[in-house]
Amino acid sequence: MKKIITINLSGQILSIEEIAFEQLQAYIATLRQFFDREEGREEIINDIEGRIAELMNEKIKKGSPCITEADVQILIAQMGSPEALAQEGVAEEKNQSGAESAATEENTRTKAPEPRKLYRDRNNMIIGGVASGLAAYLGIDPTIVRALLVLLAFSSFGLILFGYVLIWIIFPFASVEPYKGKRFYRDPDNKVLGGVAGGLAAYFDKSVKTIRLIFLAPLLLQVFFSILNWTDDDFTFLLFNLSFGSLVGFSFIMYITLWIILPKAITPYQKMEMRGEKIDLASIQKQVRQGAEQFKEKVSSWGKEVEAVANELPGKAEKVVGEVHQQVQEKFSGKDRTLGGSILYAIGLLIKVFFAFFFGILAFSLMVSLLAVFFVGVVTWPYQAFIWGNNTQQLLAWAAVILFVLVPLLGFIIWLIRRILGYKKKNAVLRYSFFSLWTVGWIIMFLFVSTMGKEFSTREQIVTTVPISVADPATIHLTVSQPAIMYSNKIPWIHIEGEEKGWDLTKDSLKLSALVIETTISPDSSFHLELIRSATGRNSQQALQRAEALGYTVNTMSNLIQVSNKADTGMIVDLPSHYSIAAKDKYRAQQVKLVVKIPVGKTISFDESIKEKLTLGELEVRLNKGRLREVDWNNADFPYEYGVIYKMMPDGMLRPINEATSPGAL
Amino acid sequence: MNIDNTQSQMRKGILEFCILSAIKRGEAYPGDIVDELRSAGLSILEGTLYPLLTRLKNAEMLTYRWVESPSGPPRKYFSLTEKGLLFYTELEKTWKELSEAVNKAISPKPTNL
Repeated sequence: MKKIITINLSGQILSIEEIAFEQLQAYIATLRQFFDREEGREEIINDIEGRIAELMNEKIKKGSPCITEADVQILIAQMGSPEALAQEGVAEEKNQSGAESAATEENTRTKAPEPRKLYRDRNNMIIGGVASGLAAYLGIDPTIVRALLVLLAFSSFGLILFGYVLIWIIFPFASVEPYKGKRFYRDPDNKVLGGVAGGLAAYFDKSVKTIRLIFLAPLLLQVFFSILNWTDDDFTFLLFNLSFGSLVGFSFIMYITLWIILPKAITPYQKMEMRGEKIDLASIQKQVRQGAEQFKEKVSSWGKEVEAVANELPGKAEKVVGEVHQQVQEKFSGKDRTLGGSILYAIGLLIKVFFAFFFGILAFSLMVSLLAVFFVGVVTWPYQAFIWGNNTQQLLAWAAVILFVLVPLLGFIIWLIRRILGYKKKNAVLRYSFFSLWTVGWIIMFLFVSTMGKEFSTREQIVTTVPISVADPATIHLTVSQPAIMYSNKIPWIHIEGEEKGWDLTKDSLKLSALVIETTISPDSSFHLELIRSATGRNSQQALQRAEALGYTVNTMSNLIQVSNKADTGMIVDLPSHYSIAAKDKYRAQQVKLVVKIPVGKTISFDESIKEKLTLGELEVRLNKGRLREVDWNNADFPYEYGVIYKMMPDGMLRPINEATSPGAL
Repeated sequence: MNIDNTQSQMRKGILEFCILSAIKRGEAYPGDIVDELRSAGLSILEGTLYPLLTRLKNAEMLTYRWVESPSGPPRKYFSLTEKGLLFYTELEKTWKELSEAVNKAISPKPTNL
C-alpha cells in the first residue's frame, strides 16, 4: 500500500505517490547544486519544474490516477539526471554575467584562480563579494567570514570596515568556485531560542549542551558573584563586575549577532551542508525521510506528554485537556500536517510554556527571599552576640540557615544547570536527599524560632526613686543636656551618610535613646521622680539582671526662675540622652521609663532638647501564654508642647498656665 | 582520447547554433525545441536545454513571452532578438565555412594525375 499526497508544482495541483515525491524533491535538489554556478539558476529550476508539471499534468489527463515512482524515474531520465547532464558537458565551465555579451566577444570564461590568490567572489556577494572572496581564499564557509567581520566591526570601532573597502577597491572580481564544504547555519531542529547554539554545535562537532553552557556561563557566574558581593568588599566587587559584567554583554551580543547573520538550515540540502555530509542523491533522500520521521516522532511524543498532563491536572482542567487531546488524536491519526493540527500543536505548546514560566518565576522569587534571609544571617554574624542567648541557640540558628536556605538554593542551581544541559532523567536520589534535608531544615528553623521566643518570656522591672536635690521646688523643667547619641559608624558593613540620631551600635554595646515619659499627679505635695527599668529574659533572675544593668542617671539641680512675677526656686531635671545595653546582656526588649509625679498647683515645663535628643514612645510587650511574645515600639507623639508651662490640675491633668489662670478661656 | 568526450566537444559548439535556428524558424517553447531537434537527429536532454536558453536570454539573444496553456502551467515562447538574429547570421557563416573546410579535409585526396 502506498501513500498518495497532493502537491502544488508550478501552480499545478497533482496527486503523487509520497515516495515519488521524495525522489522528485531529491532530483530537483541535485539540479540546484548542479546549476550552482549558473546565472539565473532559479529561473532555470523554475522552468524545469514547470516543464515537469506540464508533463505530469498530461499524464494525469491521459487517465493515470496519480504520478508514480516509475513516472518520476522516466521524467528524470527525460529531463536528464545530473550525471547525464554532466556528460553533455554544457553547464559546468560557462559562467557569464548578464551584463556581458556572449561568444562573439572575447571569451570571458574565468576558471577559479589559483588557490593562493585573493579574489572577490562575484557569484556570492552580498555587498562587494569581499567576505566570500576571503572565504574562498582561506577555504572556509563565507558565513563564518561574515560573522567575524561583523563582530570585529564592533570591537575595532568600525576600522575593520576600512579594510573591507580597501579589499573591495584593490582586488578584482572573479568567478570563484562556490564553497562546497561545511557551511555555518542555524539549526532549527535543535533550538531553544534561535538555533544558534545548535548551528555552532553542528559546525564544530561539539555537543549542543556544551555550547549552551558556554553562552550562559557569564550570566550564571555574574549572578552568583553579585550575590556574593554583599560582603561589600570593594575589590572583589569591582573585579567580578568588571570581568563578568562585560562578558555577559559580549556573550549576549554574540548570540544576537549570530542569530541575525546565520541563515537557517531549512531544506534537507542545507542541513546536510550544515553537518558537512556528502551531498548526493542517496543522502538527500535519507535526509528527507529522516525529517519526515522526526516530525512523526515529535508528534507522538507530544501526544504522550499531553496524556500525562491530562492525568495530572485535576478537575475541569483535566476535561479541557482531554478534549484537546482527543481533537489532537483525531487530527494526527493520519499523521499528516493539516493546518488545524499545527494550530493545536502550537496552542498546546503555548500552554505548557506559560505554566512552566509561571512556576519558574514563583520558585525563583521564593529562592531569592530565602537567599535574603541567609545573607542577613551571614552579615550579622559578628553581632550575633546581641542575639543568641547561648551556644545552643547559635548552633540551631546556623543549622536552620544552612538547611532551610542553602539547601534549596543549591538545589535550584543544580536543577537549572541540569535543565540547561538537557538532562531529562530525573535523579530520584538527588530529589529525595534534597527534600529530606529541606524538611530537617524546616524542623530546625521551627525549633530555633521557639527557643528564641523563650528568651523574651519573663519580664521584670526595677523601680528606683531618683533623689531630688532641691528642697520643695515650685516648678521643674525637664531637659537633656548630654549630647544626642548618634550612629558612630563603627560597624563596617552598615554605613550611614549624614547623622543618624537616636541610637548607636558598636561591637560591645547598643545605645538607645528610647525613653518613656509619664506624668501623673503626686500623692502628696512634693515632686517625685521614679525610674522604672525593665527587661525580659528566660527567667526572673535573668530579667532582673538585665534591668539592673541599664544605666540611666537622672540629675537634678536648682534653678532660679520667675513664676507669676515671683522669684522662686525651680529645679532642672537633666535626663541622659541614652542608656547602654552591653553586648553580654543582649537585646531583650529593655525599656526605661521615667515617671514624674507633680503635686497639684505646681508646674512643669519641657525643654525642646527632649524632642531633639530623645526618642519618645512606648514599648509594648505582649505576653501570651504560648511561646511567641510580641515586642513593639510605638513612637508616640509627646502630648505636651515645648516651652510652655503646665500646671497640675486637681483632676490629674496638666494644663498650660494661661488656661489655668483664666478659666473659661481656651 | 575518449570518443564520447570528443563527440560531446563537437556537440557543445553546435548546440547553441541549432537551438537558435530552431527558434528562428518560429516562436517556440522548450518542449517544441526539443522535439524539433530530436526529429532532426540531434537528441538533447531537456535539462541541458533550459540553462542554454536562459543564458541566451540573459545575453539578450532571445526574448520570450508567457502563453497560458490549458493543459498545464503557462509556457515561455522564445523568439530571436535583433542581436540574436545578428549572432545567428555570424554563426551560420562560421558553420558554412567550417563545414566546407572539414568536408574538404576528410574527403580522399584526388590522386595526382
